[in-house]
Amino acid sequence: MTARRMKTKGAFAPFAAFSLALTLASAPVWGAQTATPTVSNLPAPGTYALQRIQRVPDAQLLDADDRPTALAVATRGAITALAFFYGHCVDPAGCPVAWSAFEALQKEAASDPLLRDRLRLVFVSLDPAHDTPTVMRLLQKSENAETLPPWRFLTSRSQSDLAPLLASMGQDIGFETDATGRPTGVVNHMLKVFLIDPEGWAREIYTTAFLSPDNLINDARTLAMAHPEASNRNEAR
Amino acid sequence: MRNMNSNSGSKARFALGLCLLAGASSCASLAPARADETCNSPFMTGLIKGQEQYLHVWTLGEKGVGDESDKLVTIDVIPGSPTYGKMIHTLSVGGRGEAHHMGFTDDRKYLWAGRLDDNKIFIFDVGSDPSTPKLVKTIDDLAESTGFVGPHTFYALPGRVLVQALSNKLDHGGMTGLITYNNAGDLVAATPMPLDNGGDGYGYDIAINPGRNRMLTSSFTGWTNYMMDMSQLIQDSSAMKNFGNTMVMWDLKAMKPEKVFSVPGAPLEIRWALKPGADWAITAGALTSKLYLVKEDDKHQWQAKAVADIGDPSKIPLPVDISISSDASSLWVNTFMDGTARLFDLTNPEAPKQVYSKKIGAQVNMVSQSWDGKRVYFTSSLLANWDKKGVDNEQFLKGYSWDGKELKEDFVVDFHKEGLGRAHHMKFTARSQKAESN
Repeated sequence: MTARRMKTKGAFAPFAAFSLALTLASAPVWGAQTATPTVSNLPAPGTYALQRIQRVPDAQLLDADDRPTALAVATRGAITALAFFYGHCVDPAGCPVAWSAFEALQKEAASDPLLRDRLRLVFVSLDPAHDTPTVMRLLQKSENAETLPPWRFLTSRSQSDLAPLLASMGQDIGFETDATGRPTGVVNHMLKVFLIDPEGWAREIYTTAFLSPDNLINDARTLAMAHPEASNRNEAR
Repeated sequence: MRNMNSNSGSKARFALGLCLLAGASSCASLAPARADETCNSPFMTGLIKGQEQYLHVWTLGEKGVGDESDKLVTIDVIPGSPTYGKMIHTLSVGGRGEAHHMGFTDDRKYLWAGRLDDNKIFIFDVGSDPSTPKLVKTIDDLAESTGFVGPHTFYALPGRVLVQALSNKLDHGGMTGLITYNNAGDLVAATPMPLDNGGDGYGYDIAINPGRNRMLTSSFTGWTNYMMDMSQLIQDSSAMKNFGNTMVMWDLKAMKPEKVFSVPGAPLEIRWALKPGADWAITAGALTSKLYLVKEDDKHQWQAKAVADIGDPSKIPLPVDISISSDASSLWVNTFMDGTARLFDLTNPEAPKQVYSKKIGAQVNMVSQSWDGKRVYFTSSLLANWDKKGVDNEQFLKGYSWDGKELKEDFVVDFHKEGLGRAHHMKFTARSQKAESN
């Protein structure tokens, strides 16, 4: 079969390696390579329909300013790409693949009149204990600019607050422990990215084998054509 | 469209670097599998590259055997376990509805199992404790909600399960379709098999190549035939005309047929080669006893062609299940009528060669191999009314070791002596995620 992952060198590897050296003696090799899948032979945007897979449930979360917010506030009304992540995930087949795909999507959408004002990106943390609103604010600041579609970073008060959302979205997670039963910090999870229409339907779900930036933006354009009313300017209230 | 696969992750790495500097610890997500134990959906996680621990057998209830009900049977296959090679759990679902095939959801937490006669789909929780699966939901309105009957193949898509049906409720013939459910079991879409451009409307198996956005389907026969006694069927020349003779290449994203291939004689299981760079798939024609290769030609056009005979086609050995090795170098092919497993060398997929054979029993249908190919499991039942009669109706699960030269029997579970029924489809599980994805 065609190789579905194109290995790409992490651009920030030197910094990351230095960071790791400061913080962790036994951490995975940070930034060495990110597995980016490729998907060829995609149909032209607007020539196909995306299925209504499931309703995205609402959930009470925290925004980057530590304010309670409903997930729907960040998703309804726009074309939304949403991923669950955690800030210290460095598995090259995990969260960094979503980061890379979202950055590519955001950059492409910035110059696309179809998507520039219709697309919104959302990351929801799987690890509220570490991913505090303060961390979310740092990440959100680093990923937003006036010229780019908005990228929201959300967390929650606790794992129990988050659990119903994860269950509804089919996002299974597990916290790894060492031989003594202590958490290692690893959050085992299956990478999933959800593309959500303005009415709150998940219209495509991407796991690693299908999470190519081309695939994601193709589908986002298809949804935008079907939803000209979509707007990322005002978050729903 | 511009190619967007260049890594633009410097800012993300910067952001994550901040987190690392803030003192966060190491992490890793479960590495999603590009393919399961050589035959399952590439969208599924939790690939068992090491030792499988449990083997689940979707078993047809049989009159006069045990409780006579269809059931999910769990076998311990952990080497050294006190119960190695023995049945450790059964879960009867009630009635006999022609239990047939199963498939995992994308997270490998749930196992969907179908019945070809009453069209029920059972969803088992195998993630909480794979040694003791639990029935969590039954879908019983397939025919009413879609018009299709005979749920055969269950294939994981992200957040969904794609089901290939075999027949339809109007005439119980071979025209049928694909049904998409979300993981909660809610109907998402029903897609008819193509009837134009050479399509015959039949369906059987599903196999996806996500990197090419391509899906292949194959074709079998409708309810009237698969529920008919086999001896009666083969004497019914009219009924014997009602078998599929096509495969279809689909645009997966659009769920639209791209091309219909002429593949005579009911092409059944489809396996994409899993070796990187090997964009081809293989299937076996049940009635023609041939292996067919689906591959792009020099002009980058997908074509299907016969590449090898399976046994002596004139004797109708009836090839059934196949299992490809993870490196696409070999293929197990079972022939039901002579109860024989045959190994084909696929080094040159244009010219497969049989290099080994072994009689497994009076009849043999399904075959499943571990990712490393060192363990191969066989079961016996094809369809309740197609299985052999009398003493030849052996019903078993047999586990073998394969050393590259010889199959060595490790254990046998006699499904009649154990009061279980007819042993059909097999799936592996393992208790710990870590063990699964090593």
